[in-house]
Amino acid sequence: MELIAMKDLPTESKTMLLRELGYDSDGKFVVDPKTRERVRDRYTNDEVKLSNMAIFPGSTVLLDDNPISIASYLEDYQNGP
Amino acid sequence: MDPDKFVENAFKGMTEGAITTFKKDLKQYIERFKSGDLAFIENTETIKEIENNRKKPELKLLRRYIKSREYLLQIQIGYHLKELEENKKHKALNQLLDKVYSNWGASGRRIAEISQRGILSRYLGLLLQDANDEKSLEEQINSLLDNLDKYFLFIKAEDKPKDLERKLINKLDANSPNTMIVFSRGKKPVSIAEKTIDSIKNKVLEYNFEMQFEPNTYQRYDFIIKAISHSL
Repeated sequence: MELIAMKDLPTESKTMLLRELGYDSDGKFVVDPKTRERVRDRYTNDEVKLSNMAIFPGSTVLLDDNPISIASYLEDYQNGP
Repeated sequence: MDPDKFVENAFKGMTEGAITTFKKDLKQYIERFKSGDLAFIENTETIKEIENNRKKPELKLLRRYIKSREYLLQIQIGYHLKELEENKKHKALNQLLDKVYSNWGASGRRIAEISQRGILSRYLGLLLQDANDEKSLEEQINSLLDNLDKYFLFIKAEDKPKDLERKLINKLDANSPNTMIVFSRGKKPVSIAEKTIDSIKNKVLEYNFEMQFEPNTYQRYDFIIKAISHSL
């Protein structure tokens, strides 16, 4: 799987990306476009910020890019949930 | 399109032309994303480290005996903690420890720390020396992880050998574990460990003692192993 580093992407570009994937942002956090509720990381329950998000394929998994969330995703998708 | 070009194009001021170009590149990346070919991540360093850790032969071996997804994750996080410590990234290390605690509680944090300190791999090595069947090996490893609060002791500089001696003997009497592990790091804790273990050796005759020392990190590992299971 190829990785695209978003570290240097401006906020507007990240927001464009999110909208293409069916999400949105409030400028700081990722939000659900309909409810405007902040999206939470499924493993740590942290609210996902634009400044440290990870977006993985497989039903568009949006995570905080901390080691626990990334290791959990890889464990589930490489070893089976 | 090259990923660096993709990011570079995102920066070419958000003029109408630049937005159109970026959107076109983005659509190509989205298609690849939807077919599972790529992921977007803030910083690629973390995921690369985690992926490397997942390939460790030690982890592959542990997977034969540990089926709990949570334990396996805590062990992997332990590898990551070790790297952060070696690279002197203390702030990131402490943040991760806090996160481990809030996700998995004290027991999860303990497992991550014993993985970080290489305790689990040393213990596995000892078990492999003497085990006659995989089932008993699996039982012993999982029993340790299930009962770390009872079977593991971490010695600190402020601990007193007499108190530790009493605590250790009480734990051995109360829980009768197959293995008790005592870990110490740094000159004073290691010296305390030495005094404590020496003082209990003649008092717990049903156990054997195995000591390992790592001079680079000044870490001492004491394994107190029940003689009966040892002789299987």
